[in-house]
Amino acid sequence: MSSAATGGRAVATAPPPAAGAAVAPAGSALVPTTVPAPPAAAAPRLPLSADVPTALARWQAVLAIAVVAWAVLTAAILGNSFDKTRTGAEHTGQLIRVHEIESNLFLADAIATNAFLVGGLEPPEQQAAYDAALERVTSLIVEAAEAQPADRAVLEALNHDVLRYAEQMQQARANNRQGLPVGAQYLREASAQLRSDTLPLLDNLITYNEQRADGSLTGHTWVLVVLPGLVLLLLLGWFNQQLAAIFHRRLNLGLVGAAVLVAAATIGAGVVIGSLGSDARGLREGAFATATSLSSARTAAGDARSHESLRLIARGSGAQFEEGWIEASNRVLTEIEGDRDLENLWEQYTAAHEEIVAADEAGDWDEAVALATATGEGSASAALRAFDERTSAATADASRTVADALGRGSWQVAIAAVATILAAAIATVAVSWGITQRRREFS
Amino acid sequence: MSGRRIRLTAVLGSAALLLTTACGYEATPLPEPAETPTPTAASPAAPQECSNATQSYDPLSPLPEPGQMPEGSTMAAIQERGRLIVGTSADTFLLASRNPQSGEVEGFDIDMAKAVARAIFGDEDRIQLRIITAAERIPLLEAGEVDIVVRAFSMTCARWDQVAFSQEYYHSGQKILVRQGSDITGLSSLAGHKVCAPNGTSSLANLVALAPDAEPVGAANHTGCLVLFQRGEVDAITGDDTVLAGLAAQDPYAVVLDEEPFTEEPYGIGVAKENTDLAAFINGVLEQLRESGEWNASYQRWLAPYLGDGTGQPAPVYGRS
Repeated sequence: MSSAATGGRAVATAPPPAAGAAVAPAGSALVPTTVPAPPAAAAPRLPLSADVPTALARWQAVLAIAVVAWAVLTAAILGNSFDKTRTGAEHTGQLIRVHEIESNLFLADAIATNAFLVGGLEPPEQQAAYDAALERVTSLIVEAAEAQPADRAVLEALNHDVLRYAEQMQQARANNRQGLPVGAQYLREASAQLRSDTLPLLDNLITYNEQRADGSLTGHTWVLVVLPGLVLLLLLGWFNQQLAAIFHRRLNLGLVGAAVLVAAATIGAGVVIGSLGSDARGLREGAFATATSLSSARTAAGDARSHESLRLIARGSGAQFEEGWIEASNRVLTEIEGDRDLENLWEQYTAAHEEIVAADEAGDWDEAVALATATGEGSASAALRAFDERTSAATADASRTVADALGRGSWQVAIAAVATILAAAIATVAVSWGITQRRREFS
Repeated sequence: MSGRRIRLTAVLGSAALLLTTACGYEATPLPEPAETPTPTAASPAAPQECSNATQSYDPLSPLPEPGQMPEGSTMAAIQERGRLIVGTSADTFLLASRNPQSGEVEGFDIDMAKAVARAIFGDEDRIQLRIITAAERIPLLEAGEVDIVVRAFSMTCARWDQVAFSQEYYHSGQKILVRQGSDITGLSSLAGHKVCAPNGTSSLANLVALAPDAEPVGAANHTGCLVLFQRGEVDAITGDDTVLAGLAAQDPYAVVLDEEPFTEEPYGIGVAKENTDLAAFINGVLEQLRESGEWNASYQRWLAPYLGDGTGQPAPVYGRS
């Protein structure tokens, strides 16, 4: 069969066989019919041995190993990408989880501080919303600890802080209900602890998970997966040339078949990795960025609300808290830039907040408190609730988009890896078969 | 053969490297612990360079009718504005603290402030409260951001250099609050114990000076000390008896040691140094409270349940010029 590939040169001059192998099998169209003995100095040789059959046997092994090595390397690179995609989904999931912990903590704090303005008898719905936010926080901490062992030490510290926060808030509320001013102090300390002790923990979790997610969403380089394939193709081509020089047949069908399979698998793997990299870049700048930005905006909104309430609790000395409100509001505006709906909602809340500040600064503290605790249409509470609902829903949507896209990508990589292994298996057989045909010419 | 072995090793090594680098993560580190703030005491009380720390200006007599303040006076400017701006506390139970049920700040100090507002406007509600810390009392008076300060403000010679005071309206002194059953019996037994006082106050300075072997712990205010006390992080709290009575009223397991106060803390109503007319006016108001029995009524309502009958409204010392 291999002779068919030689076109019009079906009868070729075989290389000088090694000693004792000078006679080619007779009666076969596939093997040389004559064995001339050209001058030894001019005879082309295969590397690895002066003895052609031995060299062919060695090259058969070398090429089989090269194909297997290529397959292992390509599968490893694809496996790495699969792993990166899978862990990328996990890291982004973890990052979004940490953002949600932060948002719910600040939401709980905003609710608790605002409830203090209405006195010891908290509205039941506010109490329920506070409890729900803290319950969400604790269940998310458990989920996060299961999802990422590398975060466990920080999550343990976070859990400790949240318990301490909840305990202080409980004491704050219990004392407040009894009319004791120490309740407000517990509230202030809990809020201060949230910002001084708990926030650095969350910052570390966000920073490190961002780095991990970033590392997983980058590094899908198609060149890396194409390079081993090219090297193998060059090797196959070079060996085909060597054989052609010795056997005077341009192509060895086994080698050609193997080369086609390697090329196809390499292109396939390159396309998968390339599209994965492109999709990952799209996610980083799209849904992933949206999810983290909106979550940060939600956190900053809760922070602003807490500062607004703390300002009124500080009654007349709220300047320091107003600075905190402005800083939080600026963070919100940065995170929602370009989203007209959210910008409008935040503008509504800002307008309501400015009315509260104006009343407080005019000395009408009672009116300021009434405005801050009102829940009807046009109130600060209603505007903030709308903002929170909108950011919360949009964050969940964006998170789902990221998880779905990464899930699809990991399946594509898995299929490419399986296809590479299959191609390598067939290519190994093809190479072996092609060289065997040449070796038979000496038997 | 060795060449082939090397190549195989290199290929497998690369594959292994790719696989292993995908699996290991650096653990998320814990943040660096924040530095524990060291308690900052005010400068120890300067030696008295005067003997008349409680001496104030002669009372304005007769007092003008409410709403008819003398033209050009500080009181007229306040009347013109429509409200009296009062610097006070919101967490000093019994003196000035926010009632969570009503949302109103109330207490003995607030009664004094309301009396001044009533004398100016004929309406005690025409006050704007500004909740301030102890450290803000003098700066806010100097900046003109508050008209008066009624916030456990001790009259001292050093403070007379910066602000002016009314006559003494309450005579307080520094004491110690401990847990029931504590082995602390007084200043002499504080050695080795953690004792809390607000940062930047003379209470902390006095503690350092009078009980050098005690371990001082600072807090933002006395209520902050009570939180530390309830958490078991400090063994005692020191401060004015009025303030400690307010803390003890919030914790059934806290008691104020029954001992002679180890400092004298004459409370006056602070005004800006140049507003001596306002100080004289307030002195007139305090005289009215003495005569009408309102001072005593307020004392009985807020402080007597925790401090006993006391010695009554302090006798005024006038004649400052």
